[in-house]
Amino acid sequence: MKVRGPLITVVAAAALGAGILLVNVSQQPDAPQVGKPAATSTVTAAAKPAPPPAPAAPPAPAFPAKADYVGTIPTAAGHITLDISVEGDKAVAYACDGYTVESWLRGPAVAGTVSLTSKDKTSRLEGRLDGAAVVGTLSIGEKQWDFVAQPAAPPAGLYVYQDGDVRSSWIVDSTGTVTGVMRLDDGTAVPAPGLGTDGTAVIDGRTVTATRVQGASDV
Amino acid sequence: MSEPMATEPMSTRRAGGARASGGTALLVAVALGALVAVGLGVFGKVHEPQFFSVSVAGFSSGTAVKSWLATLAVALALFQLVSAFAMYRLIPGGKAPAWMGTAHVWSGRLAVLASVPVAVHCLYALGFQSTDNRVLFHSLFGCFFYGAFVTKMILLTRKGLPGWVVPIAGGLLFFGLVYVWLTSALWFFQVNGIIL
Repeated sequence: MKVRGPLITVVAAAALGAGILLVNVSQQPDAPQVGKPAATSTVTAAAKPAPPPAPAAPPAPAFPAKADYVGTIPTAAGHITLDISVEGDKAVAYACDGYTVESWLRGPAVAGTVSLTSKDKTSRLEGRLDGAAVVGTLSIGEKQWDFVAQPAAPPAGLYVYQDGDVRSSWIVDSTGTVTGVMRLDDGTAVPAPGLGTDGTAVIDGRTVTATRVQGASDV
Repeated sequence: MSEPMATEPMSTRRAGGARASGGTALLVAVALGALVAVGLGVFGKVHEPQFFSVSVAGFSSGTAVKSWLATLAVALALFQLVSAFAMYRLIPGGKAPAWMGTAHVWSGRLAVLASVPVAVHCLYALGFQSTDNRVLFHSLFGCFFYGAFVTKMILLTRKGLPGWVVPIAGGLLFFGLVYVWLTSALWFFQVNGIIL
């Protein structure tokens, strides 16, 4: 008993870890919820192959009237943060790495799907509602990534400040982390200055207030 | 652990002599722990991050839940340190009370169980990352922690080890957890304030 105790501890820890992992895997498309009731229900649901497609199949899911979805895409060099803002039947998305890569995309949001392109058509985003999240693919130039963007409530969202040809764009995610890129008038991009929780940023010594961008905004 | 001679027969069942067996057991335990640590790291690196976050009612976000669970684990780990000191008579006052051993065992179990949901979320949703030093060291120490945990648990089942082995393993385990906490939960509370 005394000798086995530590091994029981290891097994208990491993079993708990495996159990939670299983719940995560089986629960992924569903509404986020944790706890024992959820664990049992999802595990039984996973045992039967039929139910999982069922929630996805019923009437095409529709976007809320206004919503923001934020996701992070790991890349070889770091991360790309993506925000999709839906308003009515329009959507605008912004993706950036916080350093030099950025892209604004626009397009329709119909029947739970978004199909967005950048002005110069070099970037594309195809997404669809999966549960509460938006999943899909984002391509910028030659590169393509899969993404999962979770719903995010304000102040999370997209912010922009434009002064002449210099445009600073920021994404605030649901933890309050800010990622932004500033595009200079010569077309090059640099990391954007910090964005305060009050939506202000200091650009060239001036304090400016960024505008929140939503699906139907004209950017 | 402090009575290596009395338990010689147990440790002779595998290798030739008690001394050799102690060394082998130590090597095996460290190797298994290393395997676990590297395995977790590889899983975290290879597995596609899901960014899927479970949230518990009453907390603002999954990250907040993780931070509080991690804090609970660290609080229990602090008790681990104190009770270990007491059991090794490093605290003035003579022999530790009989319940101290049991309390040490159970506080340790609770600590590691509290840490598991956090680790699963880290590995499953975020993976092994190296975007900045905080994240890199958090990833490294997170993997190290579970490796050290497995090593220490295996060592506890082996008699005939030198007396310093288990305290060192426990110390590394404590160090790992504290460092993991410093690079995650403490950071979270500093950035967001002490929020639920």
